[in-house]
Amino acid sequence: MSAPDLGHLAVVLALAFTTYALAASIGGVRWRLGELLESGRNAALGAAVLTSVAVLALLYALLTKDFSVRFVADTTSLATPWEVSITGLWGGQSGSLLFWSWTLALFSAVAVWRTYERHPELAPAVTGVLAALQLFFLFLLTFVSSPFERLALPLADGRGLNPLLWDDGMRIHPPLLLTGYMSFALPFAFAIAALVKGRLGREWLAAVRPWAILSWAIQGAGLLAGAWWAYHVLGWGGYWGWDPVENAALLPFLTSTAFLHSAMVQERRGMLKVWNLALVITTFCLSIFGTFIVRSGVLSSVHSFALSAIGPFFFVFLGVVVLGSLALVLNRLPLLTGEGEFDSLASREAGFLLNNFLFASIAAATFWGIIFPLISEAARGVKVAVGPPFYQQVNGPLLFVMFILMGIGPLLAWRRTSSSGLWRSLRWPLVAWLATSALLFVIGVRQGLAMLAYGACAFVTASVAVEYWRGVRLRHRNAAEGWLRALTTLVARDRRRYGGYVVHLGIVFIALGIIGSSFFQQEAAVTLRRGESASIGGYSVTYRGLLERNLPDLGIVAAELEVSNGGRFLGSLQPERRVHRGWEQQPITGVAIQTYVPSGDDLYVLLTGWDEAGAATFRLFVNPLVSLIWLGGVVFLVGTVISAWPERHAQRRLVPVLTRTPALTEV
Amino acid sequence: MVQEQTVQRRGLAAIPLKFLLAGALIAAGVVYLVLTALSGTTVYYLTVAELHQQSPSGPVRVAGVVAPEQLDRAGTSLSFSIRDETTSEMLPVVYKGIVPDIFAPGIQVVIEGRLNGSGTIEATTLLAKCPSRFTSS
Repeated sequence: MSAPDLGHLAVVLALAFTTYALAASIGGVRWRLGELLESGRNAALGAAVLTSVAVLALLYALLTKDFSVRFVADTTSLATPWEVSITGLWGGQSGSLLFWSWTLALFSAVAVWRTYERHPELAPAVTGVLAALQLFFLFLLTFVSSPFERLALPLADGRGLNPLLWDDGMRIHPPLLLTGYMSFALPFAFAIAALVKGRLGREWLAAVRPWAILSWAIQGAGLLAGAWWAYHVLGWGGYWGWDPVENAALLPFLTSTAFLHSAMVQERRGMLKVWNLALVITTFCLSIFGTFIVRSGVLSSVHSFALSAIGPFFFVFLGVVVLGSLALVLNRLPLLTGEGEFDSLASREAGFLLNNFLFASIAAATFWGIIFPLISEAARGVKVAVGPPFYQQVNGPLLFVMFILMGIGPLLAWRRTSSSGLWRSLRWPLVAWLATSALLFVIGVRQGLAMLAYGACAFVTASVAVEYWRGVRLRHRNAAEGWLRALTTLVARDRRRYGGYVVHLGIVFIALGIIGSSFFQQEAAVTLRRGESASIGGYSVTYRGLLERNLPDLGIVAAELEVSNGGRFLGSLQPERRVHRGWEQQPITGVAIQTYVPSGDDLYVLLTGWDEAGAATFRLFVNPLVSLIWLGGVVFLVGTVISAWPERHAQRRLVPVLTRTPALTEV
Repeated sequence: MVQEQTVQRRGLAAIPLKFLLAGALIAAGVVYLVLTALSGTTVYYLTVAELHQQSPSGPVRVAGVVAPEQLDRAGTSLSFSIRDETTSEMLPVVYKGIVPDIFAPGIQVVIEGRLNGSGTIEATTLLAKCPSRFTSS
């Protein structure tokens, strides 16, 4: 049997297994049959194995260049190196669907296994919901868009992936974002399971939390990897373009961030139950919406994915998920009354409420911007679009308020904070804010907004420092621990809180980079003859000539540039144009980026053209502090790992595997 | 430990008035932000044919296919024409920004800019659609 046939067979079998998992989970609960539930669980694990086989079969076909398969012929070619061929897996629609289905199957297997161990009363419903979602993808893969579809006549060579996509970004960003989109299905499955079982207390929150953090972190990493890719490869000098597809990927990240915060209010005070469920469900709906936007071609975007047959299917899927969840929530409303009450505006829960309000507002405004062309066409018959200025004007101020709140919120006490206590907490952060703004003024910065924003970064950093300092000092005094020991125990005792503050610091770094590059970017387009110089932002760039290199499949033309600052030689840069064989119509820009320390400036240079007379045209950017965005991303991930690291007592608590516990059979 | 209040009120009644007022204030601020931003930043999305009929004065977005004729890269400026996919009407474009790698004759592009007196679009952004990225099956 050939690999594509095996892959197709595996997909069909996975469809059968998943159907069985769904039926057995429903039947097992209905007729109180533990064995049936167990076989349903095993079928879900089997689907993970089968989809893995399908992925391996497709990888095999891609690596052996089996051009009898349409998908392989579309996404790879004889000239494509193997490490690029692998990325073909998500380089086309049906492959992306298979990747989605595969990661969903793997995550489901882990979730189903763990849930049967730890929350057996929720497990059958979780298995059922995940199986139902999986059915949708396997249905598409089997009947609508199969990566194993054969061509009538095998081709001698494939078309191959556009060489623009031959780089590290393509190996990291699409799989992360696809996995991120997919992984919101897990919190969703727990939410639906809790609703179905009517178990909406703290326990579903405990069950959902690890998955909520995981999916949020993957999506965050995917967004950052996308920004990194845009900056390093696409060569327009920026990292975020407020393009509909980027915005659609941002939406579930915003709502899941809101959930991670508001979940703490429910945990602590038993409030916001409906709201939390709504956030988890909305997050998943937005990830389906994002996929729909990308695949349906209803909006124009730089990420042009061709108009495709699966758009309507996603639309129907989205409709079923939205309406079904809504009906279920309305049905369960009586079980969702809050336990506590909001007392004071100066309280931690009020801070979280404002945080959620802002996240929801940013998400709503961004959503509105995405669908605005559709709305205006439907309402007035003209297509009106909004661009980056809309998002900057709306989201800029909202993000700024949110950022300040990030500094205040952690210093507020639950229930209420006395004004004197608030002042004691906030005085040092406020001093840091004023001192930073004043310092910037002294060194000659005159942009009011930038001074305010940099000051806010100092404010948030100081507030995190205050929180750490208080905790460490307390342990140092009361537990008589050394400073370092006090710090490590402090973090180990409350990983979620102190890891969360590290995430906040990561956001501060990212904010520094965004402020720097938004307010102080400089750009110039210059044509230079050999030996001539151009200067930008204090840097002097001298053009020394063109270098040509010819490899068998690749021609490179690079410009040699020397960079100096105030007469001091800093090094050379070589922006390039690359021409891949078979893609002569489309030269690839190789951006030259160099980060200079201590200024933190990125010098970002493109070679845009040259003539026979020896003159070359460049586009130069000075992008201050952009590298802090990538550093912030690393800090963000470190903080997430600290936060999500399992507590020791949680590891010890192992409930026996699937027995007929009363909880399981009480329906 | 303070005893939780056992009074359970449903819906909006559970939220104190000051919270509702604060929420309404913020909501009003958000709506204000959205409305003011919308009034200044919207652009009409037109086909070449619609553009020729309306000759709008404000910024517009136009989609079309890059025509192989009249394509000229001179230094930092690029001039070309786009063709309407259904009516084949042509529209000249001048652009000074960064040209995407995949820009070439036959590629679908979306440009944003203003129409000048001579019927040429002075484009400020140029989005090129990549035909070989995620293809339909």
